[in-house]
Amino acid sequence: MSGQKTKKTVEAQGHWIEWATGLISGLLVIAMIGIVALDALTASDAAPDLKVTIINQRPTSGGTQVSFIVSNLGKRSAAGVPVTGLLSREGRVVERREVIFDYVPAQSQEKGALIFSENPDGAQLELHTSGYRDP
Amino acid sequence: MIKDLARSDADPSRRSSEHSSPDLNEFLIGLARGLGGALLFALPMQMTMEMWELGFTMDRWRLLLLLLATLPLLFGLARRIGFEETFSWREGMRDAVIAYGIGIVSSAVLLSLFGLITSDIAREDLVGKIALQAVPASIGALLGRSQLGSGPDEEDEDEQQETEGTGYGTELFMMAIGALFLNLNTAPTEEMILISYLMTPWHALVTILLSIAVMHGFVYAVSFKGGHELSQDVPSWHALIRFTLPGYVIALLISLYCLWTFGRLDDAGAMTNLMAVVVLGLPGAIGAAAARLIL
Repeated sequence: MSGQKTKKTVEAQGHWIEWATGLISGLLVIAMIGIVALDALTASDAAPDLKVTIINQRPTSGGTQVSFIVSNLGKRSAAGVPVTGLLSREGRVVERREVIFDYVPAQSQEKGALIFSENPDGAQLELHTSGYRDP
Repeated sequence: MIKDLARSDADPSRRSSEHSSPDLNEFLIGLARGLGGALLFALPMQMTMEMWELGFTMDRWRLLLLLLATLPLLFGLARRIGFEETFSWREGMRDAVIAYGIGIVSSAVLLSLFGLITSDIAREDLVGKIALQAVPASIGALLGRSQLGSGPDEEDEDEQQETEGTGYGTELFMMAIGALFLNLNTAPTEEMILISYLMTPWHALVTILLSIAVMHGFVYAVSFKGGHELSQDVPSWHALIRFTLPGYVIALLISLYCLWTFGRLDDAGAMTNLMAVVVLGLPGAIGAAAARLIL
């Protein structure tokens, strides 16, 4: 089909709808460039800012499942983020669980869960991120 | 394939011979072309691990929406690359459905060939895998029929199309198809997301400008076959505003849709998502520009 095709010519006077579409598109593109540029100016030396929040805890057949959200408040994404959970009783760590997130993007949050075989009730449960690497 | 049938429908002298062997032969050749197109265009996706995983991880409503949206898309494509002269609803639907069928069958066969479809696979997974692959394969099947075919009757068809010219809406629709095609190839891969994490906003700004420049250059500057020429009195910014910028916005919207469909936007913040859309917008823009040349 294409082999036989000659060139199409753009007419000088487009229909008004072409100009309207073009104008709206132009504004959208300019707005997008503006937003990205603003971000570029404000986030030059950004770093990930990771935080873990426990949201839920429920017994399952494999143990107690502790759900959490790991959020990155920073303007830079983090990769390979390990979330470690420590269950301690009377100051002694009795269980240690860990799950690794491939990515926690900038200003985003990811959900996950750790499964403890002991019931965390009456014990101390602490969840934290132990580090990250650049993507 | 379908074209030949459509033609015989319109031409009473040939209708009587619809079931004779030459017409059946043409139909089979058409099917084979469609199959060739489905292979050529969908094989990269059928060999992508993320696409297999999406078969069961993808949200079922989003998959359903994609599958339903494919039908009018194929219909529109059939209409564009078929023959506007003898075109009817019935023929368009037949065209689209046959292409979809070729897509489903070829995807099922190839995925089985790769050992991905076994007896112990869950039904949901099986259906999801094949259905997802059938979308690009069916577009490929329709394109294969028109792009891989070469016959004397197709040439005079081209001449007809040229005199009719291409409508603005059709032009935008073709850009959407081209963008969708390249985006379906790239959006499922983890690399798209990774690239958007690696890029700083400055990189994104350059990507935006590059996308627009490449898109404009593809169609107007480098004189590819099927390229568009500006008449003497038209400044090049006319075409930029009327065609390239709407095309780029379409490419971005298709990127957004693909990323959303594949669940890539669910957890991330707005700025991160915008970056991913910009990254995917680059192949989308090139696909959109190429579609204007090829189709």
